[in-house]
Amino acid sequence: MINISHVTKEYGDKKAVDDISFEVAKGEIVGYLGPNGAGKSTTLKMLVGLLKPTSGKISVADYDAETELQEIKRQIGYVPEEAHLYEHLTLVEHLQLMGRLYHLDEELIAQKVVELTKLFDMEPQTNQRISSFSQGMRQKCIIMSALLHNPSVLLLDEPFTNLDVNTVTFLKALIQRMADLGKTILYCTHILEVAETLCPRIMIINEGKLIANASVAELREQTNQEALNEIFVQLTDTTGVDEKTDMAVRIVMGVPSDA
Amino acid sequence: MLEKIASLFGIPFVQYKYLLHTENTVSKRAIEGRPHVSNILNYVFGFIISASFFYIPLLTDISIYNYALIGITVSMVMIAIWTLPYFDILIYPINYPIVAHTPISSRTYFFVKLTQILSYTIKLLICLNLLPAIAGIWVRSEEYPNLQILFPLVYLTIAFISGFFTIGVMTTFAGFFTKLYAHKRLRSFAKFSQGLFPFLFSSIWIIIYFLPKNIPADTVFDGLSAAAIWFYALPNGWFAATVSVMLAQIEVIYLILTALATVSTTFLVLVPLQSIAKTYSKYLTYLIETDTKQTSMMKVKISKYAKIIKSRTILAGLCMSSVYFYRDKRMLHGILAILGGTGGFAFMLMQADSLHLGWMLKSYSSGLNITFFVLSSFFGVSLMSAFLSNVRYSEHWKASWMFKVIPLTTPLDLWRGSQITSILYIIIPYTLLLSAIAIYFWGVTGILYVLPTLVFILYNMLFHPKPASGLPFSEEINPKKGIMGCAYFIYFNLAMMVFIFILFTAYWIDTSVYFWVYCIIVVGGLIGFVYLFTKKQRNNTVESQT
Repeated sequence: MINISHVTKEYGDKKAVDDISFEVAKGEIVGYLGPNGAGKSTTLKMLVGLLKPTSGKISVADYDAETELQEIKRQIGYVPEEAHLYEHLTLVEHLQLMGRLYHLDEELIAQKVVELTKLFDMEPQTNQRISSFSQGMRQKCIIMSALLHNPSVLLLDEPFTNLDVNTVTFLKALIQRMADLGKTILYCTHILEVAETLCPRIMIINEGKLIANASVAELREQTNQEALNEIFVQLTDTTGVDEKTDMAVRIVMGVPSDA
Repeated sequence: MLEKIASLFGIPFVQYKYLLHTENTVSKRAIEGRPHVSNILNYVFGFIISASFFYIPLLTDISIYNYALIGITVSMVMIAIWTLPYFDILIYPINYPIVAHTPISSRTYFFVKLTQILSYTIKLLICLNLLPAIAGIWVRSEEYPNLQILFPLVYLTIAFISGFFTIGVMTTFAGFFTKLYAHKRLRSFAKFSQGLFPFLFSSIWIIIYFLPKNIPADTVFDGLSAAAIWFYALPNGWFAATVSVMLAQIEVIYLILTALATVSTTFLVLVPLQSIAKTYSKYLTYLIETDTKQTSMMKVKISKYAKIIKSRTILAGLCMSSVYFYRDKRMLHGILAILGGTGGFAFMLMQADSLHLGWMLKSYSSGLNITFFVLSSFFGVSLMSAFLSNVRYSEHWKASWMFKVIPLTTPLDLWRGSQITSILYIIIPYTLLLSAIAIYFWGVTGILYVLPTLVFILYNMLFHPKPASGLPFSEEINPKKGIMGCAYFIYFNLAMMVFIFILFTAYWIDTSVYFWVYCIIVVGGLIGFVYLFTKKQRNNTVESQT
């Protein structure tokens, strides 16, 4: 469903994404992990057409990103890392706007808006302006708009940020159900526990390079580590945790490095 | 009947009935032990004041407008004064902790409060206006004396509307008043006014009645009539004019005032209702919403333009721009500032003779008045540009990512939606306003003076600079950029000069030539505009298909 081949994204001299290639099959949930600034969000932005790759080839649902980007966009539901929204709109107006831009029928939009707001416990906020929303409510608003047009691919960039435990539990179940229904999900996160339980396959990106692409069991075997966070640290952190902690204590205490 | 109305609004009737009863009791108890004027005393006051109205038509030959003006002014002032001390009791849900633990929806609570306000206002309005309405039958009406029998009906209707308008104004400013003065001071002021105003009003009538015989009462009323003109600028003047119009006293100024009364009432009744509803939702969000009926009643309003506009993208642009039109304060301030200028322009034209500016109204031929064209075009284009320029930029520009991840085949359609908003919300109302002004000066042919301006504004809208990406609300606000770009301003002035030059050249050649040129410019201009506006859409669609 998602096919990325030798994709590179350069910002001047810096390579945010460096020659990565991977595939995500239909109905698969893949966890996309990496430290801050590793290139996760950049990859997702290239997939959704917000950024153009410097080189390489991207295709989604057999549509080529270079020539058939509009078709790709039609297939994708995207939850970005930062929840920027038009704050003078109410929740209903925002969802109607999104529905119209996806060319959905007015009646269908109305029906979906009623049901989605009820599902996400946002009924009391339907006619309130987004400017009055908490961060969690904004996140729900973005998730609802990503689901509105029944996308076949979901690109989720830290979708559980600021959400309460109940909503996270519900969303985890929803993501699993979506995958069962044949939707493809690429899930970017820092919450390794969720990735471990939700994603049969994990990809780890570090400094723009894809350094792991396997199931959790395979990663355990490769690294001789049990927990995913230990695997993650081993693969991405060149400085050991103990060494780093010692250094931090020394800096805080003001002890010279040669002491 | 009441049950049916309640179910229509999704309110459980039994809950509503008992809550209303409880709230009435609680409201009464809330003012017990505090200094206040009782409601019954207010109603009696109302009858006493309004009884004096029987003097007025018998004393002198007062006109319908002046009579209605006095009656409606008294009614509006009294309503304003009497509702002032009730803000904290009726408008703010101070009793919400009493019912907060019960399964009552905020909607039910809101309607209970609304019923309380309305029933109190209606009782007051009846006391204040019933007698003046009956006394009005004896007011002279030279044009259509037979219509006087309708006076009570017309007067009562308008007086009621003016009462609701007053409640609207008071509710809108409730927050402002309560911020400015403490509740206690407001209540003291209201109590003081409740006594003072009826006293002053009664005193004036007694003085007029017992005036020395050598000062005829008519002279006094002539003076009052001259002063009444100043009330054209106030809402009580607008409502009095509406009474006159409905009793066949058709004058242009009365028609304008009636339109003002209609628009302002609609606006002011809707805005406070929304404001109260918001206050309630803020206070009552934690009321337990157990009423299944209410949740199933939740409906999403489908845009009224959805059936007319086929393109979903244009519709999205139109709906979004129209929301930002009145919610984005930056945009609204720009438009209001220019509207102030437009008002000044209208006033200047109306007072042209007294300001020794009669030359401004000079017409060379029908539809050819330079001052009117230049000023109306300038303000019209400025209004339109204040809106469209602000549609380009937005404080929420970072949210434009959503337009970029959506498969927009024709991004310019979003901009086109904004252009349609400017036509619906700015150009059409502005043209109607100009038409009213032009008809005031030149009669029905005044429309001919407005049409060239309309064509000019429409083309300016069509060629107004678009956002670089074609997407509205997607550029960061840059204070260095003025409302109108420099190049656009130069283009605007040049185009205006060319427009005037063509019309005047034709006029100097011959009046009949001018007539044909005028027709070509206006008719051709409008047809051309429709063609260009829809042509761009067709081009967009073709591009998207390829």
